[in-house]
Amino acid sequence: MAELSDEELCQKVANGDAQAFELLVERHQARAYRLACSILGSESDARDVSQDAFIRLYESANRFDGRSRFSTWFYRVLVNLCIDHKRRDRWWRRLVPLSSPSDDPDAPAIDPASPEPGPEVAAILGQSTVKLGEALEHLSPNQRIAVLLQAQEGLSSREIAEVLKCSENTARVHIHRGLIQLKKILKDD
Amino acid sequence: MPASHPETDLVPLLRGELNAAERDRVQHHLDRCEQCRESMGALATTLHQVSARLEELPTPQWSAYRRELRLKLAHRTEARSRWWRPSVAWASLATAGVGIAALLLALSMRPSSPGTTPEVDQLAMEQPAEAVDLDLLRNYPVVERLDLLENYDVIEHLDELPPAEHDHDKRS
Repeated sequence: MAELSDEELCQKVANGDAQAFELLVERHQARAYRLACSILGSESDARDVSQDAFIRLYESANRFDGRSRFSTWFYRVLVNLCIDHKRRDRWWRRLVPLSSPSDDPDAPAIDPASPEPGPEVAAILGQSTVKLGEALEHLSPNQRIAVLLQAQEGLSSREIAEVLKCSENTARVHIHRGLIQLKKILKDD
Repeated sequence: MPASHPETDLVPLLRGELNAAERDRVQHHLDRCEQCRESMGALATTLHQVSARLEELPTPQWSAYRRELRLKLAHRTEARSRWWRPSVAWASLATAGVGIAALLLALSMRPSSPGTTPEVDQLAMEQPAEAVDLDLLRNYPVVERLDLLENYDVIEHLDELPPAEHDHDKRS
């Protein structure tokens, strides 16, 4: 079964083949996780959301019509879940704002969750990767996704356009502007 | 230097995405434009840096990741099958039915809003009230000359007043 293409495996998953699903997960787990991690900026969220994408794949494999590559279809599912997750996250934060330490002087001192990794994490990741993560945060969501899909997944402009549901020219503009901005931020650092 | 730079075509050229005509056009431009050549070099470097750094991202233990995924999937499948079990499905349908009936009842008992056109029954109920006000209309010249606040009592007993002056004149 290992020699089957992603598209053929997806067809088998649609027919309820659990082994084909396992194989697809093995093939795409690292890329899906890294992409989610780069978009969301959180390892635990990336783990959850990428797993949710695989669950969606399992449940709706029969909707894959084979007109595009499997990876384009799957990354569209993943990117949509990431965007939904970010939106929900922002909504919750607005509704239930995290209290500041000054709110309760008797509260025990707890390190608040920080969007920036601590020194230990930074050491593990390497300074350059941390800088890249911070630089990616400065891009618009579409620019970030376009650059990541191009640099990490090797998707073409047309495939990125399919994922982002925009024209190919718009996808090219997102990639170009994203890379220009990244270059500027990384150079300034 | 050429007026328009094919900036957004530089990465697609690097990645071999352009067709022959587009490739010739961009290449022709690059031959004459140093700025675009430099820009393309910088874009290629940034793209490579991003790609290399993303590879450095730590990844979880994949066996644990897949085990977790299998558990999630099993839990979801079980939850679905539980929902579709006949007893649960019937209970859910019954609850939904009661809910809809309560909603319909509430809607039917709701009084119509003031902005809406009154229905026939409501008009019929309003007619006697208008008839009661006929005396008031007949004595309108008297009412016109009264200070509403000071002579409230007079208004209240209008029906006991003798006919208005102009009526009296006409009769005489």
